[in-house]
Amino acid sequence: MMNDGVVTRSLNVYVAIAGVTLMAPIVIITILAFGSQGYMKFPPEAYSLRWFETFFGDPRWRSALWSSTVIALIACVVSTLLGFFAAYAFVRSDVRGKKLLLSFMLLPLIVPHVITAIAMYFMSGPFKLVGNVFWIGICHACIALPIVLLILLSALQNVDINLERAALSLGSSRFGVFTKVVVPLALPGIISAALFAFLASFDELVISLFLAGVKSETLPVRIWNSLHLQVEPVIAAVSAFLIGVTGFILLLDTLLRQLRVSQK
Amino acid sequence: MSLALVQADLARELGSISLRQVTKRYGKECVVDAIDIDIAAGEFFSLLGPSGSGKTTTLMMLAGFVAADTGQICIDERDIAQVAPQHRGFGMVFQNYAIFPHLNVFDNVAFPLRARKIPKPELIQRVMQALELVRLEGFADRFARQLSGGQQQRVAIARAIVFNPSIVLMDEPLGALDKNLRYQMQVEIKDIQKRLGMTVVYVTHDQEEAMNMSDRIAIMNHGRIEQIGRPADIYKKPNSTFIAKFLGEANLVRSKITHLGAAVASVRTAEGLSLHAQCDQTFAIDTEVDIFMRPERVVLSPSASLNEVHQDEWNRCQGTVTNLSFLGNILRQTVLIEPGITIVVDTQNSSQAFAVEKGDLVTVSWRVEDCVLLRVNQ
Amino acid sequence: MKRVSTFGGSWVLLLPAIALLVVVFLAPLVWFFVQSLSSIGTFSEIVEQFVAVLGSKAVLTALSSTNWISLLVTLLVLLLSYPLAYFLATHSDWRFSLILFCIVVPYFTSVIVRTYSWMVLLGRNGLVNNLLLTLGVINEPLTLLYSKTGILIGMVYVLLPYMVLTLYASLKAIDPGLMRAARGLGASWWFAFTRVYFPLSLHGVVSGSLIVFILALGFFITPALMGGPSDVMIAMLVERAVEVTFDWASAAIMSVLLLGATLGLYAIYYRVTDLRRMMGG
Repeated sequence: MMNDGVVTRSLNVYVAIAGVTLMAPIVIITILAFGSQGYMKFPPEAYSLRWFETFFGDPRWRSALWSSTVIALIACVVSTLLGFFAAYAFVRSDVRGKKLLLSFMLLPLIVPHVITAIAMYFMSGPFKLVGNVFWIGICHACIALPIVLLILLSALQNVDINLERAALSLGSSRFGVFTKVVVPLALPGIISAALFAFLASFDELVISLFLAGVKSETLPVRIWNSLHLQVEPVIAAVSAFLIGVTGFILLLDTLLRQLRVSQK
Repeated sequence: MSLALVQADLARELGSISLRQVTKRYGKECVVDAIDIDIAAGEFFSLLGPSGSGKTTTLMMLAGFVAADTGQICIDERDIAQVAPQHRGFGMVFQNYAIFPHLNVFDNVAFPLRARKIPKPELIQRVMQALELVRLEGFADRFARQLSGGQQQRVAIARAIVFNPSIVLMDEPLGALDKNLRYQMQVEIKDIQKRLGMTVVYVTHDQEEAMNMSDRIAIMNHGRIEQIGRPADIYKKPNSTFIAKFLGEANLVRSKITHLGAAVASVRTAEGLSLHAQCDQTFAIDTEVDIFMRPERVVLSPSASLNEVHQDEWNRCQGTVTNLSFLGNILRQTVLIEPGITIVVDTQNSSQAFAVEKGDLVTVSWRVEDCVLLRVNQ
Repeated sequence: MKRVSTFGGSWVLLLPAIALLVVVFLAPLVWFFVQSLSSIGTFSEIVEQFVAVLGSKAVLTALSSTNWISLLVTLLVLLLSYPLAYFLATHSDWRFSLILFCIVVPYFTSVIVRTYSWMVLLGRNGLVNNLLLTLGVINEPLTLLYSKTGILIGMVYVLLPYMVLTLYASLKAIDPGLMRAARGLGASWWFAFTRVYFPLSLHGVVSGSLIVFILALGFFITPALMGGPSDVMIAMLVERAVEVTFDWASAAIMSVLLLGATLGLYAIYYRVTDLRRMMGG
């Protein structure tokens, strides 16, 4: 039968292959984005930035980038703010039926995006909200809220309630306790939550597909539309850009984690 | 910088506290059951009891973090039930210190002064005075993670007194410290309290700590107050066997009442031994009671010396030594008087006149005035 | 007269978030279902429509496809994830960080980017085919894209991180001393694994599988891009009903089914896991 050595070696081999396979598509696409030909050949024969130039030079792609950014910012601010207050209430108050309430607030993660998207589209039509960047941001905020909640529930549980009691006993107002004790101590978590809320909205496709008109196409939607026509290399550049944004946010979050650890 | 400055700018109220019929229920459980306490201004008052006795809940109600279900909480005769915690003006010290980790020592201690918008020059002066008081002058720019437990607790104390509260609440502040440090801190806290003249309400489960520091102690059990009094008084004359055992080693001799006098009662044990004890509570003849006395009040002597002392003032019995324990400064001897009744005798190492060994026949004696009758614990 | 307790009163802070969800998320859902379904006509007409739509060939095929693909994807993901999660749970050094990195980066990358990458790789002239041709494993390029295989690869790739991370949390809680104890008692690795380790991980396996299956049911981006013309999943039909045929009633009917299945499965997941831990008890 199997002995330890065989198991360990096979596991290591498997994990190595799996790791490479997981990263390969992302890495390859990024490399291809820097290729100079008009077709996808790996490895590329020559490198250039022409597809990035096309991306940032094309008014439609630029407009999509702009829409994506604005929508993501709105979603980020709204979901982080509301999510922070809700998480605080979950952790501190003695509301009954917390489990049920939390499940309700996690519903956007559970209901299939398609259904959420078409329902929002259905209701947005009569109110002429289709294509409204602000409205799309609010809709994205609903999807980002569960993520913010989960991150901040954990962050706020690590804030000792006695610190808040101490601050109150020392004469601070309720608002002062928030600004001088709770927020500073939960700050890395808040920023993390905001970053991931931004990312969730920036990457979101399904809701944007239905709610964005031609004017407020987001990047993922533009990619989707372009894919149905042909597989252009510029899409690789846009993908590489999105991967870059993801990587950057993950890097920031890791740095924040270090901060959280050193604070303890 | 002198304490005179600190004491001089005391423009504060007296600081007397009273709780009237204060009750708190969590669901069906009655955590604090109709308690009445009166604390004088400037008194060091302890709430002592085992875990779950309701003492911390009582403190939290006093602080305003928990709302009482019924009853009144008054400070200097004013009902403060409607006052929010941040407006009550009490200093508060927690068991886990609750030092703000993101602020250094100076900013921690300055926190209440900043909340009161004290101008900067005065603020700096008062913070430094408070730090001096707790002997942490050089630590102003350190952070919590750079401080030991004892130092953190001193920061907490400095922070709680810097704004001259008339009342300070402490919730088992020394619980996390080791024994030697705890004793030292007890002395320091008591010293600060005496110098600043604050009323302190102190919650602890450590009976030695409570007795060492307090002017008066309230013993709590299952949400009720069992007894309130000065440490020496409760120690010598507990109201119940629970209190007797809680405060230290206790001898309990089971017997039945045979005669009731004005202040002294006569009892008889199961084997017919006749004893006398102080009797404060009302009993009936034939009631089963426990005679209580402290081991250090009992004298051990060789069985021959039976006739030396006045009979009326002493209880005397013979027994066999069943155990000897050397506890450092005390020799603890267990003597079997009759089946089921043992008496523990604590003798200071230096004062034992004769050597005792296991199995020896000895006489144990104690003064009638040193023992009390207690109701039998159900 | 009781004052509101200090921290108990903070429940009001829940209201803005609840308001947002009710107005922007819940209301449209309710409105959509109520309006689309009632526009069909009377109750019996609605039931008739239900039967008609759900009984139609297109829908039945899609349902069957969806079920099978989702089940297959879940199984594949489980088999591929378990060793990865086990590796993560048993290492805590640079190897842990590296593998976690390989899982987390795809996890946070946009679905469309991940799907697109596989489209590029799996095309007839794509990297995978080129590699296999050069290695001599095959003589002709395989049709990996625009087929069931393509959908499977795409969906497994997207859903794998969910399973790995869920399983990891569960496996991390298993005391490593148990395997050692079993081995010490003379058991072979396989015996110890099947009798001791795996049963303890069952909770995580079930949770992870439920999550992946639920997510797979609602997939439409990946199947739409990587599937063939005959590979239709239910979510794709819903999308088409809205965007192409403007048949809101059918969309609503299919959504009821999909949502019902999702919520039903989630109810099971809810029982199985412990939400309480997330709220601090």
